[in-house]
Amino acid sequence: MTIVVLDPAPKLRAAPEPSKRGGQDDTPKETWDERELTTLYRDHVRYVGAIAQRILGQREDAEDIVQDVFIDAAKGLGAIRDAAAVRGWLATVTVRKARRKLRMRTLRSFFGAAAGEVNDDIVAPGASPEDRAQIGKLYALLGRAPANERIAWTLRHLEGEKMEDVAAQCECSLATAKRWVSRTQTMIEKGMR
Amino acid sequence: MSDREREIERLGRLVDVEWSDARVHRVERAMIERRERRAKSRVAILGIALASAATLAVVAGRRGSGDAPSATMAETAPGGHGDAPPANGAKLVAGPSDRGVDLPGGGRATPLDPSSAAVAVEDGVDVHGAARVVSPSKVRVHVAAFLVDLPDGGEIVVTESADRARVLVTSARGRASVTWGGATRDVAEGETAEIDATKDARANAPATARRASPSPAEHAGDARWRSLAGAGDYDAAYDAMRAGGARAVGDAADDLLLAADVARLSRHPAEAVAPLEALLRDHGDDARAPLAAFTLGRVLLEELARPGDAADAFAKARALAPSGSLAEDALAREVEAAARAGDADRARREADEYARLYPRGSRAAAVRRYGGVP
Repeated sequence: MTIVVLDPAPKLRAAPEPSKRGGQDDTPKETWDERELTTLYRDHVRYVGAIAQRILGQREDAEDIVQDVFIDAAKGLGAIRDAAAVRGWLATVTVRKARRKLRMRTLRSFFGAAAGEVNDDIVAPGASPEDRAQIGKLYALLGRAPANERIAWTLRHLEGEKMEDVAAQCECSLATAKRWVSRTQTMIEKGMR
Repeated sequence: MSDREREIERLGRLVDVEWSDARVHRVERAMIERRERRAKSRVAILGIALASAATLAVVAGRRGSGDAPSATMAETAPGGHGDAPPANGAKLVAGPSDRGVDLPGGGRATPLDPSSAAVAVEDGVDVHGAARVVSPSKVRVHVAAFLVDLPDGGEIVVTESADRARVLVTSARGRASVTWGGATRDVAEGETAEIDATKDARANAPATARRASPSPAEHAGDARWRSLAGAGDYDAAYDAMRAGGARAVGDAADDLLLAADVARLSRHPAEAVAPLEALLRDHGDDARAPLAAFTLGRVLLEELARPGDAADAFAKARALAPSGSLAEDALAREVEAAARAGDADRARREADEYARLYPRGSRAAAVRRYGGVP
């Protein structure tokens, strides 16, 4: 029997404390109105989109993830307004959804469907044919790695995140994140030779 | 770091993760539509649940009180048509916008996407595209050839179709009345009505006066380009805007920003410069001025190969809102633009500033590269 565990909402960090000002209750709103959501989307869509696109190597999948993340944000962010906490929440949810997408790819490939890796259109226009080929190879190698390890490595080496942030976004311990990154790095170094 | 790691890092930088404005806009629209579909599904489920409950109540009532008359849904539905929500047709755009207009009676109209607009007119509000109107008291909404009245105030969302022949009205609170071509249709609270002027038998009757006085938008000339832009057809909007001549675009910040969007997204970037510059010149204190400056910088840098001017525009974006959400990106892009313009001193100086202000900034690597910072 297969047990599917649905991801719970990520733990929110640094929730702002309610404060009193001039005798008025300043408690943060528990929900985001449409205006705030628009601002949230426009402020962070490129950040979320970049993470999703680097992890997945596909434009269309990245766009799906972006939509999912911002639709969930209306509920998931609750009273959180602190910029750093919002950014962290978005990154964590993006990683979580990308992980699910990667696992679905693996499942599809198991049943014979094309798993799909990097699309040529995500390579920068100025890249040489050799670089394009190398990027294709890199993502083909990443396609062989388990989802968690691939994500951790991508965040570390392609997104340039610090290991502490990689661990936070992957929702694992620092030691586990380091192990995942290291294992993937070894595999890639061998494969790229 | 080994050579191999450096090489992999270099390859990583060649993965194009830039999101153009057009892509941002397209994905936002798709997201809004998806959210709307979800909301409609929830409403449908709720409707089924309520209908089931009502049926049970009616059955229970009949059992309890003999043959007491009971109204059917069709008999009680507003307008007497048994009005069902539209199954399809004009889509209801339920997205948000930072633009809006305060209404004289204390209400507010908020366009639901960046291409929509709402302007206050003498007897209410004039909506182009899609907007949410909230009012504590009586208000009249003009949308295409339709008049939507809220006699007791309330909250509605109105959306006009791209051809302006249909309107979708959803009443979240209060009762609305839609008038067009001599016909009237009521929309009850919680109801969604799609009205097609071309299909209604009375549509050929003499049209009611649309409004007592022309809206500011009409003063500005042909408004068709706005509705086309609202429907996402930027090429057609551009043609309509051009056909409207010099008066097609008004002086309001909304209009200037929309005109710039139409020019950019229809691939006429050079024509986006003038409205953006006009906005910065005439509406420098508008909340959207930083966005206009940032957009101008992007157009100059990415589309028009004017990196020197682009650097100034990005600097302006930051100066207008040093703590705003665009400030970090504006500074990073200023470094890039200065470097591309060959102004290495400025690029280095601003790169140092970026490192000071945003030591963990998401663009730190690119800034270091363009600024020549080791």
